Amino acid sequence: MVKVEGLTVRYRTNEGYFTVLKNINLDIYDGDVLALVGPSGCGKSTLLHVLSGIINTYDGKVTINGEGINTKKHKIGLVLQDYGLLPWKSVYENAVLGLKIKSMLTSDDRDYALFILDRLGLKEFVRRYPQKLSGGQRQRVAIARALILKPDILLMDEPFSALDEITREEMQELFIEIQKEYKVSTVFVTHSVEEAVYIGKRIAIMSKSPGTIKQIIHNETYGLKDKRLCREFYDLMIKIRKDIKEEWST
Amino acid sequence: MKFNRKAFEYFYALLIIFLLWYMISQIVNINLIPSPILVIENLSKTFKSKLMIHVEYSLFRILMGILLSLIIGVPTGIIMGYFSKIDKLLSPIVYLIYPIPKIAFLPIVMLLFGLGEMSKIFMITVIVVFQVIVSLRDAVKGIPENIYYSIYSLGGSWFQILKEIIIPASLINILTSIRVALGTAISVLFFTETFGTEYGIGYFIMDSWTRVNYIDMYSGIIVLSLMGIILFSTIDFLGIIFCRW
Repeated sequence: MVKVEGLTVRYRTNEGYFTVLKNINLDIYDGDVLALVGPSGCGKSTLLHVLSGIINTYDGKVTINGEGINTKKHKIGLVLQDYGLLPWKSVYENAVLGLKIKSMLTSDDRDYALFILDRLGLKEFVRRYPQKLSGGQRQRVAIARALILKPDILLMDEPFSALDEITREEMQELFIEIQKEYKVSTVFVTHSVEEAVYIGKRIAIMSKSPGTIKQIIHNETYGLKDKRLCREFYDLMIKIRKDIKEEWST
Repeated sequence: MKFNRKAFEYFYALLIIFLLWYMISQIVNINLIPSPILVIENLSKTFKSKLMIHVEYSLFRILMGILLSLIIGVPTGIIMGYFSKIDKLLSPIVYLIYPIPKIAFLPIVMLLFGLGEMSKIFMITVIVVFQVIVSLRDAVKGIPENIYYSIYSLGGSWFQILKEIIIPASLINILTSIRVALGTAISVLFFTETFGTEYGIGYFIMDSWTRVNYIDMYSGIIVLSLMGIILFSTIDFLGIIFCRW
């Protein structure tokens, strides 16, 4: 379980300090899928950077399974909007990078990596370099890399927003399947209410800058099949849109 | 495929250059511009007996000079590129020294290091090292911040960041900087070899000139050029091998 208590993040600028996040309290349960929705500039990526250990100067307390974040000890799977793949490494080398950084690769690790790559439909691309892949394929490599790590928590920053619509829906579908299979605790950032309702188990709505968490909604439609054909899906979207309309516009 | 095409390009360019040279030599018809056929004939006869020793000396000096520049320049450039505090301290010094025509210090260098190999290698190193530092520093600075994110979140050490990101990301720039440096290094080499030595292609060319043996002189020029071309294409080749993505 990941616990965020009283998190405040400030950036130093020429004019002094700028508060990006203010008093964030958040629990992410095991197997949770938390969607962070917020307007641009509200600090949702910053929150993700704190959880991933990239930013480590903040006030408040952030713990994974009761311990402060330690990137060396905890296994943090990070999927970035631009996928975060290293162009000079092949798909396979990118996929096992996490394990390689953590420790020596065992033959079990290699088998597991190939199994996951196969599961994500990347078997035939393992020797290719990222630049020779489509956006959807790169995204799958990034997700494979995070999964292969068997992460304590999976963090995704606008993971599907750079993809075209058809690929995006495919990838969302694939992610839901994979998440059901592996039950990875996930936090993902999105600016799309639709995506948040489609994928999230819970949806955290953030305010404009300085970012705070306005409300956390339990997604009743989580686990529904063919959600995009269900009334409940749209009802919840409309409800959330109404809630945030005032909040984000003022 | 790629190599065949490169080989063909070299062959084609050589053919055109020799053809032009031949035409000019026939038109002007003076000793100063002998026919390339005579020069190549001379080269094939005397390369082993006369020129080989000079090639060995020159190659040794140039390779040592470049090697030393890399040993000093690559780490310095990487550290300046990655740690902006160190960059702020060193940049002004590097920028001030970089444009100074250091070749003008050759007399002093020769007094300090003697007439032997040391002064020549030192001269090449001192001139080339700045190009390496500046291009490496810029390359490392140009790596986008978010490329590091995945390794940061994995708890990668500084050594792992160096190995997985900085070196591969700047490898192509290391090769480019050697390529640029090579042109400079060969000119510097030629200049240093005209003083206080009896070995080296530079010496051979100047010596032939004073002996008014133009055919020998051109043979030397061809050999020096070939040396440059071979070193150049070696770097291209390394680029194809190591930067496959």
